Amino acid sequence: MTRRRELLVGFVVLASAVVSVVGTLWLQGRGIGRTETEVHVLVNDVGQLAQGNAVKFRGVSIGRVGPIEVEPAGDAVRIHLHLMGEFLPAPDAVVLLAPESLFGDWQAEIVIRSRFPNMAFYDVPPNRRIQNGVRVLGGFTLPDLSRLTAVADEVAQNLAVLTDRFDKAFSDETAASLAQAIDNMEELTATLRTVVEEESSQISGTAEQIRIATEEIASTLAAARSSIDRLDAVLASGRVDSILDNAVAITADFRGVSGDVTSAIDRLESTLTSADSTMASLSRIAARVEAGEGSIGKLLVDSTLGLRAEDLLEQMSSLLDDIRANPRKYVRLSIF
Amino acid sequence: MPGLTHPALAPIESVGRATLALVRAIGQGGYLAAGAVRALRSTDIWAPHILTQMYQIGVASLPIALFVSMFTGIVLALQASYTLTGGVPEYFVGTLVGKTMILELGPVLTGLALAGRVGASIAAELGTMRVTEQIDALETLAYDPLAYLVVPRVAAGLLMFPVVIALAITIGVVAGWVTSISLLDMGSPQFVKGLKMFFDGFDVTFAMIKSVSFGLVVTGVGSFFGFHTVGGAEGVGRATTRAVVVSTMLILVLDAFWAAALL
Amino acid sequence: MLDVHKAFGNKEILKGFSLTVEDGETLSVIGYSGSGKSVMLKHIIGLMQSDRGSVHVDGKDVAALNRSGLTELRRNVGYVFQFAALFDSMTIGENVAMGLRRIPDMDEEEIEARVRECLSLVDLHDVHERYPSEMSGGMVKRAGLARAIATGPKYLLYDEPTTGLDPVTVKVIDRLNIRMKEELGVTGIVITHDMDSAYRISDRIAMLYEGKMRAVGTVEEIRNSEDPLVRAFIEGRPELMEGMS
Repeated sequence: MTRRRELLVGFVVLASAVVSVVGTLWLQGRGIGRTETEVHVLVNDVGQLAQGNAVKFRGVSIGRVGPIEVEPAGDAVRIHLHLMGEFLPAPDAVVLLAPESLFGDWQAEIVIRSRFPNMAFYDVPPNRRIQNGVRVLGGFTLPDLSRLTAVADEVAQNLAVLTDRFDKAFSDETAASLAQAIDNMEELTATLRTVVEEESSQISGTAEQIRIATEEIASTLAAARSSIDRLDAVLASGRVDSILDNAVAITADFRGVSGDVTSAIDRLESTLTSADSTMASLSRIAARVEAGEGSIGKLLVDSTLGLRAEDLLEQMSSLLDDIRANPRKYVRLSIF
Repeated sequence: MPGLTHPALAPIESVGRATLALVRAIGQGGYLAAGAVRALRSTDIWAPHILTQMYQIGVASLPIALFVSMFTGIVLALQASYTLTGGVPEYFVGTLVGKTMILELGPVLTGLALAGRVGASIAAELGTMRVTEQIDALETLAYDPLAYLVVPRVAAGLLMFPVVIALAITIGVVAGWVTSISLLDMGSPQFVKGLKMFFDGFDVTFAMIKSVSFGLVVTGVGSFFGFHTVGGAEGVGRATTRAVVVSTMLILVLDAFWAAALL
Repeated sequence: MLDVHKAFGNKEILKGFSLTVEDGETLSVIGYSGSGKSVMLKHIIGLMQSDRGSVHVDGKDVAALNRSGLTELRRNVGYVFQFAALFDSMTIGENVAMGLRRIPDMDEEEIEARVRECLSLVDLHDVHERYPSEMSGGMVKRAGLARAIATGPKYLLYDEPTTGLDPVTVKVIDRLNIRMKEELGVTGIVITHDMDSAYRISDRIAMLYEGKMRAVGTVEEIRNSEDPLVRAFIEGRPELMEGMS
């Protein structure tokens, strides 16, 4: 009797200990006995990034965010990234901290610096790039997220309404209209630039404030761009499940962009150049869609993308009209 | 004091009596606690009984604890998917099941179930021993009853509550998971994504801190009322009821306290 | 015991009770139910503390003893409870062995032997493995006695050892009482309602009434007492008390 009890008590205690430890490790995203690469990131501030968030590389989740601590000198924040398996970041790799979806969770994405020329990634001094065998990368946190999340709500609502309507099949017509929409968007960008050029001659004196605002625009655009890159990757990899989420992100980003357009004009040209390339990648997607590449079949079921792109275009059009009509309204009062 | 029997004074009098009773109970509780701490030295008396109590409190309580948490997990998953419609992604079902099971329902529901099972049985057992003079008999045989009866029960509670609750949480989450993929139109990866997304290692620590405190409350309160039983079979019944009511209330108060103090 | 007072809430049970018990004698305490006999007994072994007055055993004040002193005292005192108070989660053998396990340097074999010896002293055989709930009231009571004498105490306190037993068992227990006194020199205090038994076993008899000592004396003295209260009690004639209170 006593022996049986000892056995049972021992078994229950051990089972509970194993379950707790293994469960906790698993939920924290750590494997047991798996090799893990640690990479550190130095960044000025971490935004909403928290321990346990996903680390992505080319859209694929490759690890988790570990502890986050302020450097002893107080001049930066050090983020530990725990990556699965052996991972060797490219020499010019940097880390972009951004929202993963619109529901508040963030991610750290390992990217190549040259893709984001306008972002002020933390500059890690050459003598600190490898510490104790751990690679230290520079990071950059996308600003302006409160604005992004503010639109998120609205977008989510629109999305709900839209998805309800989308029982219709994705016809050739819709595919064509997507392509058309993207063409229109490029046209729109061109127009936008013209407007900006006209306006900029009037307000050349306020360079400094505007420069700051422009940086915000640049980064927002980068966010848009990374969203599109993600969409691109999704199409290529067949992960269509999350298309909807990404579509939401894109819309949000674009709203951010349009919002920002109202706040600054100087140096918009360079920013718009990158917007151009954003459009180019949209074009590429459209081409792909038309060519039937990727998971077009699945995409056909979810025709949201085309219609929403149109919806977006409409909004941008009306915005532009408005800019044209009342340019002053869109320049921050504080500037003048 | 004939001058103080005016009927209007009765409410004041009853408040005073209640206050005195509360103060006395706190005093007796403190005395019992101090005695139990002192009794820790008598290792030879309590150590042999720890195992039996660990079995009684821990292993024998597993079925009810797991039963409760399993159904809680199922209901959580179903209700989460019912509530989260519209723009909220499906994987939030996983988040909701995981977070609520670990932080709140796992520890508290298990604690309440065990307050009924463990607290009542301790109070009834010690109460019976008290009214049949078995506790006095222990003393006359030179055993410290606190060391012999209270210490092993409280120690087993402190040790086994976290164990039982950890298993209960696991079963609850697994039940929610199975429900999500079998009854709801949802994939395993989504559930796991939601489960992992907002998980924080501290959640587990928090649940364990709660569990330990619940173990202390349930076994301590059960011992207290059992030990101070007076008046035969009826007294045992009264002690048992009080033990369950008081430990249930204390669990909920402690739950709020930890949430305020640690979250 | 000197001027012992004890109250439970508003109810005073002992109101200045004093009594001296000599080494080696057996003293019976008689009195009406609820007169505080058991309470008095519990003071001797420190199960209760007096509100006023003091209790001395072997010249030591029980209330002033620390834990180890109390343990020491309790090793020398055996207590036979009114309803035996056997631990019902244990077998009879384990019950009797309980006190022995508190004695250092006593190995299992010695304990085992002592348990058998004590059980056969009270005429219990082959009950080792039985649980208290499986035995009759008389057997349980005898087992309680066996547990009390197991450690070889100098003092034995009996709380109504014969109440509710058949006449034969009463005799057995009385004989045991006498034997304890004569063979082992044990000092005994017996609470009883059974006057025959009290006359048989006692050297002296004391009567407790309303929290105070009413009368104390040898068997003969009590038997011939003129006090109507004492007479009423020992002869079982309540009419003698009328007009008393």
